[in-house]
Amino acid sequence: MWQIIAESVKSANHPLNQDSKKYFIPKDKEYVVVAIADGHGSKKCFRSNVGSEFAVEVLINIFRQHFSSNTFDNLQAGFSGIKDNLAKTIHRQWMEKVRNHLAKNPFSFEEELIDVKVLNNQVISYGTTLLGALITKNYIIYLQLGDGDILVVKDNEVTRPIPKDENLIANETYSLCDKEADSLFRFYYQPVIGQLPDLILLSTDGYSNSFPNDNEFQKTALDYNNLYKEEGMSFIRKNISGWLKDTTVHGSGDDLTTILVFKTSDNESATKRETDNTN
Amino acid sequence: MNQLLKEKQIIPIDGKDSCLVERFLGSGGQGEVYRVSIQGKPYALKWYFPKQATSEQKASLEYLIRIGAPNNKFLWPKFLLTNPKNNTFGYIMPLRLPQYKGINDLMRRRVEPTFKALAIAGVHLANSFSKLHANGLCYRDISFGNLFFDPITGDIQICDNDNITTNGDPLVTVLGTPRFTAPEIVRGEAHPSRDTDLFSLAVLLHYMLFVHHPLEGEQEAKIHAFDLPAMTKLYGKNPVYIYDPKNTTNRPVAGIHDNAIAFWKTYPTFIKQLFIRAFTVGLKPNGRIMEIEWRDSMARMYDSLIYCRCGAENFHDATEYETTGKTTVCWSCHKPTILPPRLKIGKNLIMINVDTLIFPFHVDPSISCEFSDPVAKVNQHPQNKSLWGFQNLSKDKWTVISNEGAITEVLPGKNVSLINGIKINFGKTEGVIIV
Repeated sequence: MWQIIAESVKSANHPLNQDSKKYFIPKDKEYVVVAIADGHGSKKCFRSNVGSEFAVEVLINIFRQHFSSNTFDNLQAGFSGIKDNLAKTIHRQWMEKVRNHLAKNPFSFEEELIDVKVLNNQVISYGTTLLGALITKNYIIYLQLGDGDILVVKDNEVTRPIPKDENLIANETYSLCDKEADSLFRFYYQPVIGQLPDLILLSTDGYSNSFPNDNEFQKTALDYNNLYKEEGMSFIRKNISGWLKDTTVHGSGDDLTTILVFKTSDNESATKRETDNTN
Repeated sequence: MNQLLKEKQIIPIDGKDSCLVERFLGSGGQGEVYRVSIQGKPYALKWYFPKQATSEQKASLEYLIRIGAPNNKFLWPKFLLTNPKNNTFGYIMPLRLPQYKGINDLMRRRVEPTFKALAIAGVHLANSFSKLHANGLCYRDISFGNLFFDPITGDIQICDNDNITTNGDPLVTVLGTPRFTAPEIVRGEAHPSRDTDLFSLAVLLHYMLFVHHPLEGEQEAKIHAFDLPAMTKLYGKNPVYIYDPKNTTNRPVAGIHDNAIAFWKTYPTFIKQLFIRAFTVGLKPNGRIMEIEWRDSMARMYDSLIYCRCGAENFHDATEYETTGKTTVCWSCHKPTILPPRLKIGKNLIMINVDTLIFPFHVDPSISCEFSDPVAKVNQHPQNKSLWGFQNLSKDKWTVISNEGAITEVLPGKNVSLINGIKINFGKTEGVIIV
């Protein structure tokens, strides 16, 4: 039912790629879970590559557990209470991972000298955004904390299930290291009516920031969709790393990560390469 | 990202008028909401997802439309629209105005209402649910997604009224929103009813005042995954109020539950005692606080407002003052507040600040709590700036008895000085000024 490409390219300006990506499709292909995270690039977030890795791990596991326990199957009373629980669980489990990591890997002497604020609140050094989606045949749940983009293509139209946050200006972003991060998550619960989307694209802000405006960025999603139909998955898979490198070099200069979830055409073998795969 | 209706789509109404879909506003578990216009006037239209467009839901809506809103705070269904092609339907309701903000905005500190606005919102909320319940109805799903308030005036609008049923209706599918449902529902022992609405109302008021859930303390801080077993234990099987005076196992944790800790210090004793009752004996259905008691307590809270010299709003704590003789210590500058003059009417004590207004419900117990058409306002003497008085804004004359027993009349528009001990007869009640 789905085919997935997950790709990430490192900024020339960073010693490490601070973005992370992960996805999971079970053997029975009942659903797909995807997650990307953008570890903050500022000096005080010197462990954000670890923080972003933890973020995608936590989200994938939580969505898998919730799918198994049918949490989202009957939301007659709405999604509001459940989304609060989801946000709290993600935040708390990420914090636990960070604290465990800190206990096993205390700051080095050099790290202690980086910023006194971070020394007093060491979780800051792991700061990251998080975007994800749980895609099933009956519903899709989109989730976002901080910057980044989720685009959906259906019938050659591009939409944003979660609108851009007008409260975030310049490079400001919400982060899992915020004490009240659980209240900053945004969700969209979409029951599937009729056809599933043709493409769901998740990307860190390094992608959209490489374009002069949002319209140009949104066209990328349409381009991917057309390429998938005309050239096939292998063509995109072969070339995407080069395209992303070009995009960031001539654009934002930031780490750039994207996950593309394509609905397979009837004549393609569904999820052939990705089945039962965590990547 | 709408799926059900398209922008500029026209939906016929009874073959006469038509409804123009203007734009998508949002979606929930049951359907999508759109801004529409009918004869040029804006409305909201909720359209149900096919699976939710059941005959029971339609019958329920028809009933609600027939009986009408309990008061003007409810964005009540006005009429149904149907699509015979696929048997789906929706309903038209008033559009929520932009100045009304959600409790989510309060939680995220996107709005910072005054204590005065919160008290007024609390009065309206309790009053509205009193009227709803008096009509034999049950809301079933009180939560902060359904309440919107004006952070300036404290006026409220209650949304998502399509799940309201008659009290005790056993054929309900909506059991409420997690965290707001009564413990007996969480344990699977009861269906939504007026009693369970009262619990949800208490939770909502707690959120409004303390910006925190009443049962989320130390026990909540230990939870690793907010899954069904954890939620059932916290909110159903072992609910403990964070400020239960006899059970200290669930106190708020500094660094995690800071709102609860900070706001607990700011409210007067009678409010804290009321919430302690609501979440100790009130954990059981027969111990619930009634709407009228909430309403009167919120009104009393409104009357207890004072201003510190630093400008911060505080509450006079009459219980504390009578016991210790000490005034409230300002939460902002940490200095003792100065007690302003007071108006005592029966058991009620109203703080007289520069902006205090006396409303009809203050002087006539038979009148419901509405914060409009004040009968008195505080005035400063135009020449002697140290002299303050009440101006009679009502249509009736007042009778004033001085400390020496002299009786004078205060005609509409005229003033009476705020002098210790003088009595003002407002018609139905008499008040005394305390300076």
